[in-house]
Amino acid sequence: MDHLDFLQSQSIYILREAYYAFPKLCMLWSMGKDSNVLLWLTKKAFGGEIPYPLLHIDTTYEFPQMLAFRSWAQEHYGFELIIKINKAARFGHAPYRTPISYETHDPLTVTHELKTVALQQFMQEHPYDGLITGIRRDEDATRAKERYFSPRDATFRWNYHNQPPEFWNQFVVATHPGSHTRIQPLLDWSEIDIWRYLEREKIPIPNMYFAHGGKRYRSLGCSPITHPIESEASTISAIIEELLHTPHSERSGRAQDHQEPYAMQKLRARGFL
Amino acid sequence: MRSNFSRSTASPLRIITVGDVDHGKSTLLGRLLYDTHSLSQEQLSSLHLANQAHRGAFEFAFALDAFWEEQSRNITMDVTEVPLRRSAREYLMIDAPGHREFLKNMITGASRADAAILVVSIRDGIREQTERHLQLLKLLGIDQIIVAVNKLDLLDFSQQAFEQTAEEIKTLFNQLALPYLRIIPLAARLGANVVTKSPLLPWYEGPALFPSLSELKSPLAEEEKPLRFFIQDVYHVGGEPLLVGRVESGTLRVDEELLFWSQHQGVCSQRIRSIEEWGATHAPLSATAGESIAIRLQGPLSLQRGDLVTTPKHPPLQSHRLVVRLFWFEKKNLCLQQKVILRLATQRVGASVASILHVVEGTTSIVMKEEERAVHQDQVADVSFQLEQPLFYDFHQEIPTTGRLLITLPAGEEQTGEIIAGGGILNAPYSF
Repeated sequence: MDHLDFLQSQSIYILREAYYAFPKLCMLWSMGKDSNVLLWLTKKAFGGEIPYPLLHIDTTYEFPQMLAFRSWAQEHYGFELIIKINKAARFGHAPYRTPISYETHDPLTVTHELKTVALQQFMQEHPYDGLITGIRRDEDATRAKERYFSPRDATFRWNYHNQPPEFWNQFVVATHPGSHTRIQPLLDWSEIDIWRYLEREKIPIPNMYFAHGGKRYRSLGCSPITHPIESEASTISAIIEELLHTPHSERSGRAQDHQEPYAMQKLRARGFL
Repeated sequence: MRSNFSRSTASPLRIITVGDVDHGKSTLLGRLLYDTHSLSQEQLSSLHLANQAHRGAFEFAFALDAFWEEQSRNITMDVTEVPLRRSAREYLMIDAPGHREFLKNMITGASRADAAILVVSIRDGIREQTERHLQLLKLLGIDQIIVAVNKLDLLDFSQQAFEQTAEEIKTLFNQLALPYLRIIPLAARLGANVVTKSPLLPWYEGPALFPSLSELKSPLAEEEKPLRFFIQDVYHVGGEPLLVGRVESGTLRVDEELLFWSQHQGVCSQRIRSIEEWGATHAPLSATAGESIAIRLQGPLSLQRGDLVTTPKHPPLQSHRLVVRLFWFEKKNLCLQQKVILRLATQRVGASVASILHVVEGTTSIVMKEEERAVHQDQVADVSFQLEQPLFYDFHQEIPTTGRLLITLPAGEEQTGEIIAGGGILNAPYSF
């Protein structure tokens, strides 16, 4: 077994534990590189099938290329896709007084309302108790402290003061009313591991990750606050080479992370991924 | 207790820092990351930003202690993991909290480590928590330990003080029957002997901490051990049942005659027709320890989660009674007759505490009077359990991955109970 085989086996084990433990399970899917690795691992874990629906939290600020990929993938894989938009926030309906937008609000507020609150609304409307996410430890210092099975109460709060112990691949499943568990099978993967796996398995991804005219996107989010990096890397091997030498963080182009100190902690404590 | 289930030998080596509160674990790691240029520009600017808001000396620890509660209280609350970049070999550094209240977080981190750096402040020497962490490393099977004697700057870089502390450390390792690789004097805050050798410690002849990491060995593969494959689930894909699970130890081969052990139906002999891998061009003919696989059998056999596959030559043990050396991190004491759930691989069984043989405190073991017997929070103890149903298992010393179990509170409706302990199965008390 090489390192990718090890990571793959560990993630498949976690996905199968989640499928066994949660009668109502769904998987967040944002069309990005990590999401597509998760989808691939799902197919490997369940003999080519995708036994739970995919959930896309649509902020209405998606890049058109990403929406095109969404349609293509739905056709190609044939999965069940749920699209959730916080319409009340976007249109300024009650309880909102004015529409929430990047033109009028700061990135932290918009991210919280259009991603976290949208997810909260969805979880209130549907009785899912397990939510698979694609977060990784190396993306952010607060994600580095996460668990594979991470409980959230009804208010979505992440109780990082008192996380459950987790060892020897035994996971705790708490289903208090209104609570849910985040299942995070990619925690151990690094950004480079993801790219090496995408290359090895030939997994389809949006082409915005590859350089066009001297720029490429390293991480993809809402179009007004996601910025490309200077890059000539137009193949996966060129991207890997670039990552081995870059002095920058993966999410450096994501404005909401850097708006103020502890921005990610504040977002995540309230339920952001 | 070997810490990890069959990791890939090609994976980055995972190293945990352990030791008492304020002995400088996070500062040492922060300095190591800083001096090896492992931090990105964005991580560097957050480190400087966090330090601007903070009064006092520059805190390298803030590179790891990311929560504002951690930075404002100058403590580590939960375990974190950071890659050490820019070195030929890949390392993942795991920073664990030293506070007693966060011991379960330390165990969460240590359970995935291959090696450890024990940090001892020269000013405080060996503390109760130092002993407890070493005891836990022993239980978790981490036997590659480098000792960093920190804060030499507070004692004028005194060779005499270092040698005295080093002697105490050697005695402790001897008492615990644990090996150590090196004892290195350093001053983490100043970066002395962290990545490069410091002229402040001219009397020290060994290497600095970072180059000494190259002496650590990668974990051994468990492929040569007896086969243990626990069924995780049964799917109905493509008409016939598809059995899924992970090979916990040994090697599983297509067409080989194997034994299938079921709690309900006893044991049956059967062969595997195929190992199925979605998307693979060639179906694999074997699978080794650590691999998550899906198999189909040659003949019909009704199996379920918790059933076990072995070779006829190496059958498992099966018993109603087990003696476990456990670490207990629940606030309430463990008492005689108490009901718990034991989880071993994918098996789950109810059990009660039949007897508490003895409690290990630091380097001494205490046998209590029958009526006073209880295990307190953060103690290590040998406990015997009476099981409601027999469990398939191995002795921990023989097959670590199927010789260890986790203990939870009894489950409520539709939920699993909280994890309160973990431990290894002993072949006889006192012989771990």
